[in-house]
Amino acid sequence: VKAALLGATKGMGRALARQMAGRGDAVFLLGRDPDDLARSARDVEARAGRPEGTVAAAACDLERPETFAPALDAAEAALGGLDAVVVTAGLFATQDRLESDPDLARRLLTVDFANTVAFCEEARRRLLARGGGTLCVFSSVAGERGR
Amino acid sequence: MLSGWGRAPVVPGREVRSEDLARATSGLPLSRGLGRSYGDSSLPAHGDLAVASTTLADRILSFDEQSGVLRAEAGLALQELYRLFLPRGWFVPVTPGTQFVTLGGMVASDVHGKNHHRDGCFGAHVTELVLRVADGRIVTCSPTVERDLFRATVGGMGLTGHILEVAFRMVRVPSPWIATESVRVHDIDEFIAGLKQAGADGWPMTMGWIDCLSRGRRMGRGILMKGRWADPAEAPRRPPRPKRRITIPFDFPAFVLGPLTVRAFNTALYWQHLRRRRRAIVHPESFFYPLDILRAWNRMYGRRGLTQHQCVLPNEAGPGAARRFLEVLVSRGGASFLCVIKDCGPEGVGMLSFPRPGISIALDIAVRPETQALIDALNECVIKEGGRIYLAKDAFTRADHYQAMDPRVAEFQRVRRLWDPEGRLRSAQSERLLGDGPPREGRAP
Repeated sequence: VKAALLGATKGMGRALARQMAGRGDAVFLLGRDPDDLARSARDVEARAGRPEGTVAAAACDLERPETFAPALDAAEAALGGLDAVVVTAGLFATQDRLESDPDLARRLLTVDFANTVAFCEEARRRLLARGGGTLCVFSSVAGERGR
Repeated sequence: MLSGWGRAPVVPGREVRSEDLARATSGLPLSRGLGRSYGDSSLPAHGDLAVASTTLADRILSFDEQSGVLRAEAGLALQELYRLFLPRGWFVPVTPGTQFVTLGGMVASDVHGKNHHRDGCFGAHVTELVLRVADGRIVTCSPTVERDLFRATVGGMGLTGHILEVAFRMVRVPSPWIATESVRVHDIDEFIAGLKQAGADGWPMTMGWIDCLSRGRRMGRGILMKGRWADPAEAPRRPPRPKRRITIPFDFPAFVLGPLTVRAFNTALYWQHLRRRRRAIVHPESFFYPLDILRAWNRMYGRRGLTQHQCVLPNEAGPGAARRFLEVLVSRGGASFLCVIKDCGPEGVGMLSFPRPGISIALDIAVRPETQALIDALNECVIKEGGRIYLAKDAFTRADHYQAMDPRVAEFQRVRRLWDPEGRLRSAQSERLLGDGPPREGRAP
C-alpha cells in the first residue's frame, strides 16, 4: 500500500505510520512542523529497518488549505501514486474552553470539519484519478456529543 | 496519585504527557518514565503536584549500522529496542532486569546488568545526552562536552535536568539465544568465589539467586547462573517467540508472601535444581527478564507494597562481608522473596553511579510496620562494610545513612547547584536524602 498520513508525527498517526511501514507499506508523512516530520521519518525508517532518507514527508496544515494540494502532490511524486490517504490530525478542546472562547470553537469547527472535508476532496480527486483507493478519517466520540 | 514500582510510598501527583517533551517539561521539577524505579525517585516532592511523563517521546532518531550508535528520545522503552533490534542482531550493551524501562530512566539510574563485571553500567556506553536544564535551556553533554554535567546526569536520578535524548552504542550479538550454565552452591562463601571465578573464566554474564532464609553453614546457599550469547551453530534456527504474559489481577493478601511461604518457595527453588550443574540454551526473555512474564507482579506484595534493598559490599570488606550482611537480615527476621547476588566491576562514569568493585545483594521485601527498622539495620551494616545502596530501588534510607555511605554526594551537589542554583529540579527522593526544600526563588520558569 502507498499511503499518505496526515497527522503522522503524533498519537494514532505516529503509531499507524510505524505499523504500516513495519509490514512493508510505503508511507509518506504529512504534518505541520518540518523538523518534527523529519524526526518522525527517521523513526519510521529505523523501526522498519529501512535506510535513512527512504521515508519522505511534507508540511501540511489543516489550518492552511493552501498547503493541501502541494503536500498531496509531493506524496504522489515520492510514492509514485497513492492507494490510501489517512487523516488523524485535528484539534481538541474541552467543553469549558469552547463555551468560553467562541473564536476557539470556530477554529476547531473549521479545522476538524470544513478543512478536513476540503483536504479529503483533494485526496478523493487523486484517488479516483487512479481508479479508486482508501480514504480514512479518524474521528472521536467527542465529535458526536453536543459541544 | 503516583507511586514507584514498589507502590510505597504513594503520593499526590499527576503525569503531564506529551510527545513534545521539551515543551512538556517546561516548569516541571522532574521527569518520569515507566515508573519502574521501586521507591520515590520518580515521585514529586511535597508541593510539586505534577511530573513530566516521557513515555510518548519515544522516537528513534538515528541508527548507524557501522558504529552501532543509536539516538532516541528519552521515553523510548527498552522493550521496543528488544523487539525491533534483537531480530536484526543488535542488543543494548547493558540491560536491567526488566524491559519496561525507558532510555531516560536507564541513564538517570545508570542501570547495570548481569555483565557489569565486564561491561560496566549503561552510562559507560552513552555517547551524548540532550537535557533541558533548570533554566529552560537545551544543553548537549557527553564524556567530552560539559563533562561534569554528563557525569552528574548519568546516575543522577533526573536531578540535573530533564533528559530529552540519549545516544549510545548498541552491540552486535551472534544469535538472539542465550547459552547458560547453572550451578547449585552450598553457602555464601562458595557463592562469591563462584561468581568471581565465572567472571575470570570469561562468562560475560553472571548472577545468582540466594535462599536468604538459610542459616548457619548453609547461609547463602543458592543457584549461580552464568550466561553468554549462543553461537549460531548451537542456537535454535527459529527466532525466539514473544513470551505470553500473565497479569496478576488483584492485590494478594499479606499472608501470601509471609515468612512461611517465602521459606517454602526458596527451599523449593533450591531443591528443584537437582543436578549440581545444568547447561541449556534459553530464551533471552527468560534469562534477562524472568519477572516480566507476570504483569503487575508488584500486586503479589499486597496493598502495602514492597521495597527493594540493593547494596554493594566492596571487595575491600573481604569475603566475610556478605555473610555478615545476611546475618543482619536473618537475625531481624527479614524474609526476602527474592534475593539476587551479582559481581560488580569498576565504578561507573556517573558521579552517583551505584556499582563499585564488589558484591551486590538485592532483597525484595514486603512493606510491613517493621520495614524501616530492618532497612536501618541493613544500612548500618552497609556503612560499616564501606558499601552503598542503589537509589533506583530505595524508599526507606535515612539521609544521614545515605550521606555516610557516599562521599561523592558533595561533588554531585556542587555540579547540580551550578546548573540549578534555585533548586527547581527535585524529587521526593532528593527531598528525603539530599534535604531539598522548595525552590529558593519561586517555582520553575
